[in-house]
Amino acid sequence: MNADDEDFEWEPPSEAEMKVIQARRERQDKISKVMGDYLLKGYKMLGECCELCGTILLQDKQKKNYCVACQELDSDIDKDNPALNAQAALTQVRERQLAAQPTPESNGTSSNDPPLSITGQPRPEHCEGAASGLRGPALNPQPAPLPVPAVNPPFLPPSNPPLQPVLPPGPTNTLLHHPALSSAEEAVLHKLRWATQELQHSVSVEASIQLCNLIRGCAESLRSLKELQL
Amino acid sequence: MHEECVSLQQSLCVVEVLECVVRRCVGPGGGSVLLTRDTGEIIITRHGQRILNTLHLEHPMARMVLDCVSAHSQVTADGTKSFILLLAALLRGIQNLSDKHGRGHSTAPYLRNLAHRLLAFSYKEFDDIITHKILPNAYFYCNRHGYKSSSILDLLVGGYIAGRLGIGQADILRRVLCEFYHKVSQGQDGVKTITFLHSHFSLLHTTVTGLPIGCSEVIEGLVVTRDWSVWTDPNGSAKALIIHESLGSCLIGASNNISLCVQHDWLSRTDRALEQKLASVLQLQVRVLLSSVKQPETVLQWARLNHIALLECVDSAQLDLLCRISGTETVPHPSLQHLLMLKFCSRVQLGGHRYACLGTFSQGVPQTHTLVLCGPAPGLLDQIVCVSRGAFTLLEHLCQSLISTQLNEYTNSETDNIRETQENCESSVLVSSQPQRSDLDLSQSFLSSQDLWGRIMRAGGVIPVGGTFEFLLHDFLLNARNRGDTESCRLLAEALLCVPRTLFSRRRFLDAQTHLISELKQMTNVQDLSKCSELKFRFNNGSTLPVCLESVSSKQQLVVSVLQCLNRLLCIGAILHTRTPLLTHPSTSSEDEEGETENLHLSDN
Repeated sequence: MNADDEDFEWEPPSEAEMKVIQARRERQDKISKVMGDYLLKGYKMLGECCELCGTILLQDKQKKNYCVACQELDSDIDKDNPALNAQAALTQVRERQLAAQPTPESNGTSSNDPPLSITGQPRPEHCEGAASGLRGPALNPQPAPLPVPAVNPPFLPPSNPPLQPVLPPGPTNTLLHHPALSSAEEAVLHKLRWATQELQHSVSVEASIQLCNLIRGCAESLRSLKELQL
Repeated sequence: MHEECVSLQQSLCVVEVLECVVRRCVGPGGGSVLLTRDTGEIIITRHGQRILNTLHLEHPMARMVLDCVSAHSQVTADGTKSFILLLAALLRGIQNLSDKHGRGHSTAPYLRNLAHRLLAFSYKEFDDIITHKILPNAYFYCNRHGYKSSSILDLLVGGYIAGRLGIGQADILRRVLCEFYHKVSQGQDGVKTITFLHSHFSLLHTTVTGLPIGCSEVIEGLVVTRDWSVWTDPNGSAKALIIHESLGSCLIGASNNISLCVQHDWLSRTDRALEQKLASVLQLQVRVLLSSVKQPETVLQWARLNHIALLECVDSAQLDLLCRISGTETVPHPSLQHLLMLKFCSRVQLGGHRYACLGTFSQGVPQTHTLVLCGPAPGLLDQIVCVSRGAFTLLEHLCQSLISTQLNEYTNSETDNIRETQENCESSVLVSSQPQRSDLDLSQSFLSSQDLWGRIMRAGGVIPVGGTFEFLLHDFLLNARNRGDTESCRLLAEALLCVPRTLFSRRRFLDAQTHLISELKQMTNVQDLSKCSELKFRFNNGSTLPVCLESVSSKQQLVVSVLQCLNRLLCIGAILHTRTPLLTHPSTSSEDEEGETENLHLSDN
């Protein structure tokens, strides 16, 4: 058998690989369960597979094809590392912003920063909102972005402060031209600022969580607004 | 990126989906599925075969699995859901193997090899294990827990029905079916009765819509779903004549040539011919006419005048059955006519219809009775009929397999008689009654025995439900001496536990398993039937009713069928999609054929 020579190189699967296998199996179980439910509702199981994920396609009564995995479950490849997803999204946004504005005048460190942020430790997701929120006030052209990091050590790991100089020039240079969009952005930024200030003064856990959520929501709206333009 | 075998991935996907659909209905505690057809008809069912047939499945692997399931259920009518569960568990086990052991275990040749090994196991060693380990232990269990031969049928049928109908319905149907069997067999040859009931079930049952299930009953005689056209009560037994063509059409005589020249006295000629025929019928002193076609009005008038009961448009299959049961004389008169004696004729009112009921004198077995099944709705009634038919198929399979097992054992015991009697003293119950028979055909001796169910129990043909078979087989497979293939044994053993795992919650599953294994150890140590204690089965919830039984042979057939289906699935190399649309008859779908040809090509190596 030609597998003999492969046997010499074989090692038992490591912990991480077992975890990936386990996660994949759970995902497969979920897919099967959902597909079973759809079959009982009268959907037809086709003989074709989805091109994106390889799951078997279903067809509903209106002859429309439906892939359970793509449309209902999240994409799975890095399911065990969700922070990587948000990270990847943010870095993509930042890269676009960098590509859009050619002059890195205050960004002396900007060329170093993106790589640092990508290869830096993945930030826990709940801090993303806070991180983007705290970048918010720095969007106003302030002379010293440095005080901001000083406030934030309890929230952010140390890889954050280098990021601060990256963003402020970005959004200001890519100000939206359309008046409606710019007013929307202004309103969101205003709310972001207010929420940050409230967060600094809040004492209850519940309120802090809600403020963080608000900040995250504002950051996401800002991101979508920017994407509209790009 | 190593190449994984496409067939394993795809088949695992497909079978897991089917498993998710079917898993919720397994066992007496399982739920029902509500399906709505495109026509708006609603079906509420737990029957695995019906659920799978109602799903829309166009994937070729799914259709192939469905074909295997249908073929299996035609043989035993049992274990459709367990089939899917076991198949899924086996595929998952193979997937685990390939995950743990890396590339070598997930290539197509390795998987095909594994599939062939499993199939080979099912042909040879599996039979041995069943005959020498499972059957004797099944007998020990039944004996130890005090099963009486008179209750075996009840528990067998009850166990079959409980997994397929709701509880209230199951009890009623069980009672009716057992009554049906007993009335037909009248304590005589059980095997012949079961064969008769199984082969003629469609003629021996009548359905009535609109009544509750509790109205189901057994009526003596054969019920014909037509009313008498002319009715006179013959008061007791009467001679009956069976006609297969209309008495009025006597123009075309012996030959088939039709002359188209119409004569002016044509009407009087036909009348005279008809009168002659009717006179000859009267001469035979016939009181009842059974016709498979519609008779002209003149014949009806004549019957009214002469006080002869006439039944028209009877199903010819029923007429054939009547002839077979009662033994007829053939009348030499032209065209197919048979004379027979009927015990009685009556009219019965079933639901909103009036039907004819014909009683026969049957010598010995079987005594003609009809099973009347009532149901409030057509869908439910359909299921009840299906379940009843399946129960008799199961019994038939059990009897046939036991006969063949005993035949094999007899031929083996002839060669080494002494060794067998010295071995298991318990199985000597089988051997000791036969060593003196030299030339007698064993099947005949088995057939003529009166105590069919006692013999079945002693031969180990039945085993309590609830995963006993699976636990036993799991234990024996893991502890088997190393003949052949430990890997496939282990794979099968692990997969077998999927059925009890689905039936029980986790803690009860572990409970049941440990209890069974300890009982097994006790029995193999003690082996003394007279000292069997009053241990009740733990699954019983403390009630004094014995646990229902299931047939060992159908379980054996299930495992073999699953391994064959697995072999087919794993030997698929590729699926080629063609342009021709899927035909409605699943076995002729072009995609399946493509898969099949692929199959043939790749399994040549």
